[in-house]
Amino acid sequence: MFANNRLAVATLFGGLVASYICSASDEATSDERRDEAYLRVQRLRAEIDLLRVEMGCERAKPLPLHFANASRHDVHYQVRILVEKLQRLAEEWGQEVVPAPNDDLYDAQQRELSPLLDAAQRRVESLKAAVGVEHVSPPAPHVTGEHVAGEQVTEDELFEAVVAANRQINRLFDAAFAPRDVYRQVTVCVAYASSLLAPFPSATRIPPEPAFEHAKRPTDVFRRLLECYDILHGTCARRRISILEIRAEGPIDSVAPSEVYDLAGLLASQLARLDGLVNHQPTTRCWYTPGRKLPSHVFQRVGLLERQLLELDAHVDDNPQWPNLRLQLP
Amino acid sequence: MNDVPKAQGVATTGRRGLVGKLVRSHMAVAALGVAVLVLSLATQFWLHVHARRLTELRQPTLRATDRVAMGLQRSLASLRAWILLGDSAYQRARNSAWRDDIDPAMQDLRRLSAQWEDQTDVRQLNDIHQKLRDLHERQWWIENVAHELGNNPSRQLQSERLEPLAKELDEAIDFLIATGADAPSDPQVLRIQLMLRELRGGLARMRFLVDRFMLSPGRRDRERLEETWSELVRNTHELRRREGMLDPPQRETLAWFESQLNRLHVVSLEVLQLRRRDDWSQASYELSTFAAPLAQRIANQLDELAVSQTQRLKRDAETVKWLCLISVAGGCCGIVLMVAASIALAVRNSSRIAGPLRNLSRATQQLSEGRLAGDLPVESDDEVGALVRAFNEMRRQLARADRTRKQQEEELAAFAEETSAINEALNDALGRAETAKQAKDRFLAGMSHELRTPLTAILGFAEMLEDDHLVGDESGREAARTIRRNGEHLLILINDILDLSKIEAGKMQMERIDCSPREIARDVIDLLNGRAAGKGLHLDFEVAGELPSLVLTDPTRLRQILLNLVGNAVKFTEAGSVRLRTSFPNGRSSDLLLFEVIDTGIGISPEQQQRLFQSFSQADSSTTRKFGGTGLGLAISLRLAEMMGGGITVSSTPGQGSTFTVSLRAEPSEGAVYVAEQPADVERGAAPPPRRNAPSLAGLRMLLVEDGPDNRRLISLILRKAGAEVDLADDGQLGYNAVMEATGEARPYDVVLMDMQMPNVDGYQATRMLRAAGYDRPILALTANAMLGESQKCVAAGCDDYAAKPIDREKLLKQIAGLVDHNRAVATSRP
Repeated sequence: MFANNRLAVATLFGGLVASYICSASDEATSDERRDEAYLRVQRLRAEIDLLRVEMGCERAKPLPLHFANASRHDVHYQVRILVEKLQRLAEEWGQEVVPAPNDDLYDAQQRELSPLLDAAQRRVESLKAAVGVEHVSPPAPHVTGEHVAGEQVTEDELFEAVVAANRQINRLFDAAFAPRDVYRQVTVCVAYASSLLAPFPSATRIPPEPAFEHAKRPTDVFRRLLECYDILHGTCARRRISILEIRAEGPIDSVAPSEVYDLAGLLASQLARLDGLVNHQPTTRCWYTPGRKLPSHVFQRVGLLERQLLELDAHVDDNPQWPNLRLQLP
Repeated sequence: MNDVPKAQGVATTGRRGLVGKLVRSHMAVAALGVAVLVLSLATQFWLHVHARRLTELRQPTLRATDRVAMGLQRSLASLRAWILLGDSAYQRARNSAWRDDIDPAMQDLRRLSAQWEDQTDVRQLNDIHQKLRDLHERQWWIENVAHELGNNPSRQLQSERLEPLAKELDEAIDFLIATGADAPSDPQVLRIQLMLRELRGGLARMRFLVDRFMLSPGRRDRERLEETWSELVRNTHELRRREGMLDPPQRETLAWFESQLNRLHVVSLEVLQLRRRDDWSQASYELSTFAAPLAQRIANQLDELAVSQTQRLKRDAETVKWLCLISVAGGCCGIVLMVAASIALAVRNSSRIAGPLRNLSRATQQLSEGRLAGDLPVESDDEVGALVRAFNEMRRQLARADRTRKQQEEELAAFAEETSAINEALNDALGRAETAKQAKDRFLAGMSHELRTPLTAILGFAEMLEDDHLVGDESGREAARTIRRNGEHLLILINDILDLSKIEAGKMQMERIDCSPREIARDVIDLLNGRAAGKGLHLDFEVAGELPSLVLTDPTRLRQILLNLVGNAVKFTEAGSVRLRTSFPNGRSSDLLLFEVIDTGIGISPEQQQRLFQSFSQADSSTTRKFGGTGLGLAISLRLAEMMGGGITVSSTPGQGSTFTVSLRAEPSEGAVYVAEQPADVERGAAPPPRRNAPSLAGLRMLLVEDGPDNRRLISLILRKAGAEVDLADDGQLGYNAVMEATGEARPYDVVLMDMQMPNVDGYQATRMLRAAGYDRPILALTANAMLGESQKCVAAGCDDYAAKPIDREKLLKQIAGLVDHNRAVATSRP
């Protein structure tokens, strides 16, 4: 859990704001940095794996999802989540609370990963010290199955590496991710969706929540989130907006809340990006930490998000100029 | 109308005609009315436009604005209540405010805004709309966070981080205390135990101070917290200095404890900092900081919008008021103007149109009074002019007709005078005829009386001579029989002549009373049976089918007809039989009563049949010579049958016999029964009825008032022979005196026989005098007047019954006996 919710939220959205304020660097520089970032992420993954071995935890299974068309924004967002998770783990181990870099600046468009990777590295070092392996070095980072040696690292490969690192950390927590964490992440999505609906005068920004359904499992939430993602992807595809592609690979029978949390985070990142495109200003909603929640509560909230996305889809259909023109009331 | 000819070459249609004038006149008035109406309509139209704008734009706009404002306040109030109380009813109330009030009202406003003139208001509304959407969303977030953990960050931090850390530290101290409790007697160990317990106390104190601060933040709490933490740090350091006395696990635990103390300090201070800063809930903060001000801005904008629309509403209302005034005033002026112009036009046009008509009317009046001598001037070329021409023509024709009429009146007057003279002559003739008729009636009545009176004496005395053997030898009795037979013939002749006279004079009146046709037929058979038997004929009576027991008819005349026909049949039949058959041929559906008299006599030829029913006519002259008779019987019978609604027909074969059929209209009496033929109805050759003895009047005192000496002698003789004591009086006055005298002597007469035709006081007057004097015994009228109505006249005078002259001795005695018996019965029944 974050030490300070506001801090966490500010961290979350600061990066997003920054992501489109700055212009993109040239492609060569970008590729160079991507390779470097990729190596750093891989090193982090090795360090995290060292911690896992020391803590006696099982290796995490890969998510049954296939990603494609990742952007720097998506990578940046996932690295930020990595930092957050490491922070949370450090807190569990009694480490000092350290603010995330660029606390007031959303750096998603700036594509600067180094500060975030530095922060992540610091927390890993701190954790190694807490666990008592500060003098142990992990094996040299190597290119794993995601990347073919000798070729330039793609954004998708970098993205998948960060996602894998995030997934590895999930196993190390004493207090695993709970439904309320997912709930909070979905609520963030709701806020972005509301912001996306704002330009449409006749749109209902917050539709009525669907009825509460009992005994829902994280798997149900996961599936519903995928459906939401499909809706959003379809909406963007009609307007030729490229977003991250997420596709389920095989049946989704059993997922943990942490995996649902990761997927919700992915969805939130896409919505945040669209919000930046449409509204040209960050959504400054006051995020809050919910109390104890059941997967059914999360399922209900994802239902609300689904309605919002359907409403968005309908309005986008009726307004071909979206997202380039800001709609005005008649 | 189409048949009315055009007035001699004058055009009656077109613009110059009366129709054209009337049309122009009416159109002028109508045009004026239309102009006023158009003006009124224009005013009404503008009034309608403004009134509609008021009712369909301004007022709904204000209402919707109010509704939005009220919904806004309602949503805020519900949100506040939800934050404070957490009752989900307020969530529903807030949603209802948006769903039922704000959103529909905003939709109304946006719809109405299309008609707003001021684009500033439209932009204002758009801004309000956008703000409302923001507010709606923000309210949702506030509602979401209000009862979540995140609503209070300090408490969240306390529960999620401070408390777990404090608990872990507590457990570490417990571990140290527990592992060091093995050598309590060692002062060093004891010292360490005490220090550990102080650490635990300090830890508890820190938690207590944080709790108290959470409840009620105070300035001293932070200082005390710092003091407590410093003490904890000192004690920890002190323990670290003595850690040589601890075993390795205790040392490790103590090291961990020391490392976490700083964290405890930081988290505690952060909780206190959040608690002080976050003195109110996040939801309240959001509400007061963002939502309420935003709502207030919206409310202000709504107020501005309402003010703007209210001003427009007032302007529209003012316009409507003025338009109403203009409409009313304009309408009144228009009406006055229209009335005045209409009157002026009507007067002008009516004088133009009605002037000639008025002259014509006046001329018509003069014409009717005969004062119009010359033609009227023709002043116009329209229908009125044509009318004047027609009037002049009519006047001339009337003048001609008047002259013709006067001439005809003179002729008529002359004719009337002539007719008057003729009428006077006719009236004289009629008077004379009436006088002659009355004289004839009087003559007939007198004739009847004068002929019957001597016949009474003749027949009576002849009968007495014959029956009482007053004549000793047979030749004398034969002479008496001859006198009686010829007397009876003479009586029949007189009766026939009188009947015929009455019929022809129209004096014969028919009765219509209940009587039995069967009884009448039987009486006739009984009456003539003796004569038939004397000729060796069979006289039969037969009833064919059912016959009503009683019918309404004149029994006397029916009997007279049957007696004549059956008598003729007996008379003209030498051998064989005579049969009287009666029937009701149509049964109960008709009132036709038939009598057939069938004989086997000499028959009648067709030529004879043609004159059979003529007066004074018989089959041939030889018949009269052979069979006698006046030849009036059949004529009278036919007339009587016709007067009774029927007639008489005859069918006959000479040498074989004849059949006379009498048909009558005889309606069955009420309650009559239909009876078929009875054995007694069939009588064949029955013997003549035995002569019955006359009743005795022995012991009775009677007064006979009769002026004729012969009849007085005859009747008194009959009465005395019957045993009665008879006194005589010559006229009515003497009769009255005798009755009074006898009554005064207590020897009243049992019966008074009163002749009705007497000189001086006649029988009618004497009877009335007696009844007036209280004489209540029977009075029997004697009258030779056989005219109809005589009996009623006698009864009306006070008589109990009457006997017609000539007197039938037997009948007279029976009548007297019957009267006496009846009188005695009445006297006996009196109380």
